[in-house]
Amino acid sequence: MIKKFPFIVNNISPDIALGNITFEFNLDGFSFQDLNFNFEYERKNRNRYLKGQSIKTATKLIPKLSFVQSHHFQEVFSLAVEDIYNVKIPDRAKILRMIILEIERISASLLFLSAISSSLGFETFRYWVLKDRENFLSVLKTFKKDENILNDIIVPGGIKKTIYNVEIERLNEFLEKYFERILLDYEKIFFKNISLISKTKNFGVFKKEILRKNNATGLLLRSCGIKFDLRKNAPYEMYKRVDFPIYNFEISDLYNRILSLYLEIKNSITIIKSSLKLLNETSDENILEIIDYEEKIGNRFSFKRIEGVNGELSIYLEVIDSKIEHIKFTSPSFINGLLLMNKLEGDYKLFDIPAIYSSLFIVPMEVYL
Amino acid sequence: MTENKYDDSTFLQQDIKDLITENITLIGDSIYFKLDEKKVLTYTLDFLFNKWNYKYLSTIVVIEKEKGFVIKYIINSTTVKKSVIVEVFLDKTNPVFTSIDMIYPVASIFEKEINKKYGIIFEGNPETKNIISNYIEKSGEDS
Repeated sequence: MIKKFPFIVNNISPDIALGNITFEFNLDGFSFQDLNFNFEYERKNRNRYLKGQSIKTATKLIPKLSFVQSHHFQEVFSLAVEDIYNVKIPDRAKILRMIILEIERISASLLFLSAISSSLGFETFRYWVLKDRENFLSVLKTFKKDENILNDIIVPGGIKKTIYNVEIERLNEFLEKYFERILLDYEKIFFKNISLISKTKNFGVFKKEILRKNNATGLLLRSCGIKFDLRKNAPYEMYKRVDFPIYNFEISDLYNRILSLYLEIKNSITIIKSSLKLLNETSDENILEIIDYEEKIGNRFSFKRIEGVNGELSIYLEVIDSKIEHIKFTSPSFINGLLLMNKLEGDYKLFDIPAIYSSLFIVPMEVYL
Repeated sequence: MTENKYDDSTFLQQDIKDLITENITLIGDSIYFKLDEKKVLTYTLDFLFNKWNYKYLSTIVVIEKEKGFVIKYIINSTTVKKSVIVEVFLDKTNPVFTSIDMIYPVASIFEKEINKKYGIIFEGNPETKNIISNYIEKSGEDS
């Protein structure tokens, strides 16, 4: 018998978004077929919300679009504004931006790891990861003192606050003495755990051609053996000057996707460490290039893309005399959430869905922007 | 052996000038050009997809103007670093356009979203339908 079921995955607070994430599927025995996700709540047109706003106002609103990668949203928006106004930002600001982005990448990877470990039944590990994430965010607060995490530190023209030598030492110390040791523990307890390997190896496999055809980017693309990373292939900020390996696997199964999160964290640590060295080389110069928004520039537009925490994050920004005429963000969550899950081949049961869903790195708020 | 004096994007720009249009502009990291006729779009994208490896459709941007819609297709390549922005204008009196999901399968969900927001119908994409006629079909109402 085939029957349609609505099944609620996430019930998000109405303060963040209105509605539920549901998915419909046909049930054949205990196996599901024709899976369809509905992200019903996010039907607000963000373009209308930001249209007509000045760039200064928008700078404060942009980070609220995502709770996982708010700094990446600020970064891609700032890059587009700087491109429109032909502004070149100081080297020190570029390096500081890189450090902030990589810290956020680590915290986001830990968040994804907590979601996956929870769906696989590793509850203790989940709480452990969340605790370490909190520690890491407290390092992020050293840049901003006691301010809110969603505050706008990356702004068009550079960065709002500098990082002092004491803070550089503290960050280095945290990474070396605490975080790298913790990663070794993760490896022993989670990544090399036989029960995890037996549950996830050759499970939830996406074929290479399917991922390539359907615009998979970032972690997903690298997890199936395609070496592509925007930080290397189309570098922005100072990523040209830091060296890190692009890992790749043979097939994109659940285990490799989980492992790719771990390798991503390791890469980010390498980048942060070399950025800190670069930071010592630069002199204490200006960290914010002031942009003259009063200048009449007419109609201009820009398209920018960066390597977000879960894939390529892009922006199309059109401006008429410092007022936003059109803005469109495209996040990988849009493609991963609406397209890729339907392409899953093989016989999977109902209870397999949460694990596979969480391994696609979907951030619900970012599906419709 | 002669030295290759052109980088990839210079060759690409020349190729676009020779085969598609001469009016191309460089905006930041992007190559931007307008197509006068919407019929040429499929040919243009197919050419960039196959010859220049532009296999990645980043996004489709629709901007509503008084008389019609400006549609911008933004595509990227794994070999050439520059993005390509192709612009087409669509009249409001007949908001019907060709779907490009045969070239880029991901276009189907972008087109579906555009259909819901602006009502543009993409021929060949079964998910984009005329909202009113679809409603009549479902409800059985017919004037």
